[in-house]
Amino acid sequence: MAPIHAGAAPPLDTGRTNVSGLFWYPVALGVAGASQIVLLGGVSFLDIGCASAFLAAALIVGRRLSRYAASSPSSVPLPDDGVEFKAVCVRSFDVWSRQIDTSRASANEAVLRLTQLFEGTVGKLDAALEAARATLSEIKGEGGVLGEVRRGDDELRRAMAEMALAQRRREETVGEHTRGLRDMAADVQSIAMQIRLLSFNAAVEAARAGDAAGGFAVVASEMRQLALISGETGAGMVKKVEVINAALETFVRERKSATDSGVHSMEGVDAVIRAVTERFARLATVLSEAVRVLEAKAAEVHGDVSEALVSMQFQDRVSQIQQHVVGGLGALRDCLERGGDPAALRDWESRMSREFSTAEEFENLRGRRRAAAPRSNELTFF
Amino acid sequence: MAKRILVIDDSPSLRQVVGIALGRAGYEVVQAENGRDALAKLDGERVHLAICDVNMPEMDGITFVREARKLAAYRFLPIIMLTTESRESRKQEGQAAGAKAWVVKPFQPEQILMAVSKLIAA
Repeated sequence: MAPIHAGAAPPLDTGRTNVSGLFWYPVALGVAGASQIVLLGGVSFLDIGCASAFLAAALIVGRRLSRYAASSPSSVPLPDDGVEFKAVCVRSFDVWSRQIDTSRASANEAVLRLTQLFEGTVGKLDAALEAARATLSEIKGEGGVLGEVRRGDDELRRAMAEMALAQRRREETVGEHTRGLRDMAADVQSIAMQIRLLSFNAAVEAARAGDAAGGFAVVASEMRQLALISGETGAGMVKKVEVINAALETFVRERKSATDSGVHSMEGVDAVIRAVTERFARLATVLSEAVRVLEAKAAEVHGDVSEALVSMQFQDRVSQIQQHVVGGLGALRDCLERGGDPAALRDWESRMSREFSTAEEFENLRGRRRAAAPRSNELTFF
Repeated sequence: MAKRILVIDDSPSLRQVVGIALGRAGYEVVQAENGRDALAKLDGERVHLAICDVNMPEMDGITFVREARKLAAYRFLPIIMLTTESRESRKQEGQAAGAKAWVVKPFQPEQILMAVSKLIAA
């Protein structure tokens, strides 16, 4: 910035010369004309009168022309001491300072609002991604719904297998018992048959022995009675065993039927559960893919967010530079109002640059204008 | 428990930008608009690190660092200077006052987070 020299007079306006010229030129012509009249016509009263009238007319014209020129705005001369120029500068500095402060405040407010909106948007994106991840974890993760359903289905199958095994064991046990009862009944009948045979043999021997086997014949007769009773009891046991076995087999059949029906129902339920589980798993796969795409987009957005955070810092930089300009205008204004201390003005650039902080300001001071703020990555650890 | 970081800058938008970068990394952020405001905040809350601008009204950043170092609880508080200042003389002033790092704006979020994690862990 070139130094300002206080008290220097502005160049004199040429309007003053033009005003005097407009008066004297007609007057000069009038004098010349009057002289010619007298020289050519002589010194008669008529000639002198004409010359005088001519000269008067020239004076009137000159005066009117000069008055007209004097009233024109372009001919007003500037003051010699530059006071008004300084006053204009002071007023202009005030206006410019206010304009810069107004624009700076407006821009700060707008960027702050933009930053808040930006933070809100990024927060919503992060929340949406977190919600999607939580839902997916709820479905597919450790302890998730899909796992629970699959575990439940596994337990159902185990229960079905246990039911079938229990039924088989029941059938085997009942079969053993019915066989045992049949065997026992057959044994009783066999014993009864043997007793009968023995009683027949005893009767035969008693008949052979005659009167000498009197007691033996009684025993043989009792044995025959016992054989008859045993036979009847054996036959009765066989019938009872058959009835019991039939009842047991009916019971086992009915239990088997119920078990088969239950297992069949459970198989139906199992099939439905499996179908639902598989469909759920497919949906979970689709959701998983959607979350993967969302995560990829979120990663891109995060990169953009980092770039945006760097760019948003420009307003702070611009605001500082504007602040320094306003400060400089204020200091210069004060200097002019105090009459412009030559010593202060000589050192003006040095004083102004003490307030600078950004590299662009120093570059501009040296006349090397920067196109944009530097994208600095400077980080120093002490 | 999240580490608490005090961000000191006279620009509300700059405090917001730093807050976004730190908040997304899980730090809790406390804001102050100049050095004097920051000292008052230190009196009321426990912070683990401060990020401070240099040129601020009422109390500049380098003065804040000197004053903070006089407080018994914050003699060793890690302080990162975050500033547009590019003059080497100012950087040396910051180092002499007790700052631990000097970052020139505009900063990259990853850069500031790396500095914070290094100094908080130290």
